[in-house]
Amino acid sequence: MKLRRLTIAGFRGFNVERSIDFNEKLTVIAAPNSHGKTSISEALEFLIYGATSKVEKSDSSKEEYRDSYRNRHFPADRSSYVEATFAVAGNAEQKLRVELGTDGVTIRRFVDGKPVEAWPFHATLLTAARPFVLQHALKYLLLVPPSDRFQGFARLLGLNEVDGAFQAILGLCTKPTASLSPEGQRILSELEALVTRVTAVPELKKVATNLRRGTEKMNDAYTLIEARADALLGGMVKAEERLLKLIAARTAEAAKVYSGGVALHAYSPTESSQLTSAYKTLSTTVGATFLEDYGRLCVHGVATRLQKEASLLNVGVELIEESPDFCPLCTQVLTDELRRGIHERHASVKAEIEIGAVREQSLSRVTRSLTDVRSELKEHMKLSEYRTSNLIASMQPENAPKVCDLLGGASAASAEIVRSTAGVASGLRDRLRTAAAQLEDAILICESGIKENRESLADAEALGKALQAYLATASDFVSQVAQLELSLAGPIKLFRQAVDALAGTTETSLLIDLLEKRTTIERAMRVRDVLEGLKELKKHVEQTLAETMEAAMSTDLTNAVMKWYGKIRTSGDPDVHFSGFAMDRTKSGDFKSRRLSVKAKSYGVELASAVSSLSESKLNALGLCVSIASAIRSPGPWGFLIIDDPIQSWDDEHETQFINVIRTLAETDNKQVVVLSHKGTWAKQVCQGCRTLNGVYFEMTGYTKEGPNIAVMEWSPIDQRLREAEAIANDPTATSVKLQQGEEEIRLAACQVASQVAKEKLDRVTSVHNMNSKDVRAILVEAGVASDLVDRISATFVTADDAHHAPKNYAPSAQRIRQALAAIREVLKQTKKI
Amino acid sequence: MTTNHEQQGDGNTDTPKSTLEQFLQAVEKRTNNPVHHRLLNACRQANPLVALEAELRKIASEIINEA
Repeated sequence: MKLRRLTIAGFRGFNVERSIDFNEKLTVIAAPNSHGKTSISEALEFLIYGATSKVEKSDSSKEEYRDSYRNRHFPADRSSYVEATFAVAGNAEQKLRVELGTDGVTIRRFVDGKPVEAWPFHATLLTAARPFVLQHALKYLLLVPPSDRFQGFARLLGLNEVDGAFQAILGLCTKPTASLSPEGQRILSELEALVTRVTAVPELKKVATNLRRGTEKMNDAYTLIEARADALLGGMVKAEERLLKLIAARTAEAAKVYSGGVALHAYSPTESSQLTSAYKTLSTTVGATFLEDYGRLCVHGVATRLQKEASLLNVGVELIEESPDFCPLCTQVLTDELRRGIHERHASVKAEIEIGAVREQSLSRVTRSLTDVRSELKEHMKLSEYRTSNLIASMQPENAPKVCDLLGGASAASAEIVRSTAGVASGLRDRLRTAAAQLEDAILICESGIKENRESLADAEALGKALQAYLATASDFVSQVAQLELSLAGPIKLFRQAVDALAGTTETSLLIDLLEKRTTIERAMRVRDVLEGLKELKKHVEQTLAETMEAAMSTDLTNAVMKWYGKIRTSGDPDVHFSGFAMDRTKSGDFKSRRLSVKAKSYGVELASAVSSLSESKLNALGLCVSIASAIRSPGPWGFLIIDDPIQSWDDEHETQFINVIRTLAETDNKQVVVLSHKGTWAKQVCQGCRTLNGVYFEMTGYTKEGPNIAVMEWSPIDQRLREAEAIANDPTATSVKLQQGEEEIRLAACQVASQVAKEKLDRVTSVHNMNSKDVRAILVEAGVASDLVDRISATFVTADDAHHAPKNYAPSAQRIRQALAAIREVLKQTKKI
Repeated sequence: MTTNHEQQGDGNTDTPKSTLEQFLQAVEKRTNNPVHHRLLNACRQANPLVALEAELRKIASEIINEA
């Protein structure tokens, strides 16, 4: 892809839209500093990569560069844009446009007017060298620490993605523990603490060594641990009894110092299951069935009344069965309707009494439920209190002095922690006790109500509330006690160590821990093995990366850089020069991590470092050569190369030498070169030095808030072109190629004449760039040049079509050059008279 | 619409023989440690460091919570 046109609006130094048409071989742009020259290369970088390398390099201050792309004078409600027309295969064109939203961040891309997510050449961007040779990039490439230099070269060689993966692995290996979950970190830290304790016991020295070696030595370590435990217990012990015997031995000895502890009791599996079961019973017993049953008991009073009524009705029924006309008790007249009513009421009451017969079953269930609740409450309370009993007891007046003493004195931090947690635990326990007592009372009220046949729904409701309150308090108790456990970790350890030290059970205690935690230790060791293995992975990755880099640099790149460097060297240079690249190695021959060195020699002798030995101008030259060589080596889709201000810190001789580099790039390597320079005199030298390339020369002649003023300048003066063409035409030895060049000089001179006429006679600025015979003819006719002369000038274009291509059977001719020369000189003479 | 970073190719894992892929395969040949292979595979993800950390956490968690 070669550049044809670049249009910029609202980006960096460009406010109002400006366009630049590029020559297919060489475009030179000169501008004093701060006239927007670098904005051109940055606009292209931004178009292709979505960011400029200057901003990308500034990792630590991205925020500072945020929204720095938009020109501040550009309308705030419009998107900035950069648009480039590229020549692609088959002389076709492709227009790429990138728009930067008003937020300064959002980017939209278009190919030939259609929005796209990514460029069609997206996949090649990571591996192709960037077609930019930038001064600030050169500084970042060489004058930086070796590891940054490595990164710069990796990027230059299209290995930045690989380097990114390496850096990710490096990041992981630097502090791998930080990547683990809290649980993973905890078991590793416990393992480390255990190994430290083991190391401190001389008898367990070999155990410590084996534990450090990783899981493959785990069994060896445990064989030694078991043997040592047996020795302490006085002989061989069955495996299943070893731990229990050690615990018993330790407890017995420790009790001589202090029989309790400061830890919260840990539940055995049985206790844990009992606690869960009790809680479950408490939460479910007083449920819907209980309330239904209890409701039936509440209607017991009603049932008694019904019994009495039924008895009375029995008497009545018996009486009315004798069919008297009057009631014998109240003398009321007994009508048939009344008799029927008495019978119906009697049947209804009897039915209701039968329903009441189920009361007995309900009574039995309710009584059983209340008994269950009471017993589970007792169990739950017992287990809950047991959890904190040691801790609370430790701060009772009879124990506190001793406990504090063991913890380093009453004012020691650990003693303070135990005191405060014991206080909190005591408060929690009391709250639980109060809730339990209230529940117990509610149970009692319900039971007495039942016993005295005065059941009440209010009692059942009070029972439910008391039970809910207890369950809530119990849940709170569990979670708060768990919090206390965390803060007690340090004091527990300290207390146990102190007791062990006094009781002489330090080793026994350690062996208990090792045997009790065997599974956790084994898992922690496996996790540690994984982390240790990262070092090996890092080494593999480092070596592979260094090999990849060395392969990319050693031959191709070094030779290519040498080639370009040789072109810049001047004969007067002292013989202190770049001599190649290398990946640093250790004494054992391995590559050092990300260490790329630049070699230099002085009169055949290897220097310590090119970076420290070479002058700034030579480093600058070297940096340019590296960038150019990389761009040639991995061009990707790019047929152009932007060289931004290459001659900084150079003397005149080196500046001249670099013109050869530009010419070679354009002529031999077929690169479309765009050179930007702050130095107008040198830019003109480039035009002269590459005169026959007939490129385009722009000058940025001024700068306002609208942006730079860009003017197309003459690549070469008309009279110089004419003299050149004349010399070629008069040279009898001129080859066909030379004659062809003479004709090209004539055509360009004709275009320049037309452009000059347009400016002077028609007061119109016309670009010489891409002008064809029709354009030249139109200008000359409009300016009043004689028609025969216009025809003769037009004839100078017969050897090229509108696209400047030679027609078939074309052959250059000295005679034609002479005729054209005469015509152009005639026009110049005539136009001065018009 | 994309951000700058996305456009530059993060997450481009679909190129069969990209330089990164060749590099990772070369490292894989140097080691037969399955943990290394799992971690190298994580490097193929869009954000290698995040993917590596997650994979390491997962490996450790599998060991810790093994039945």
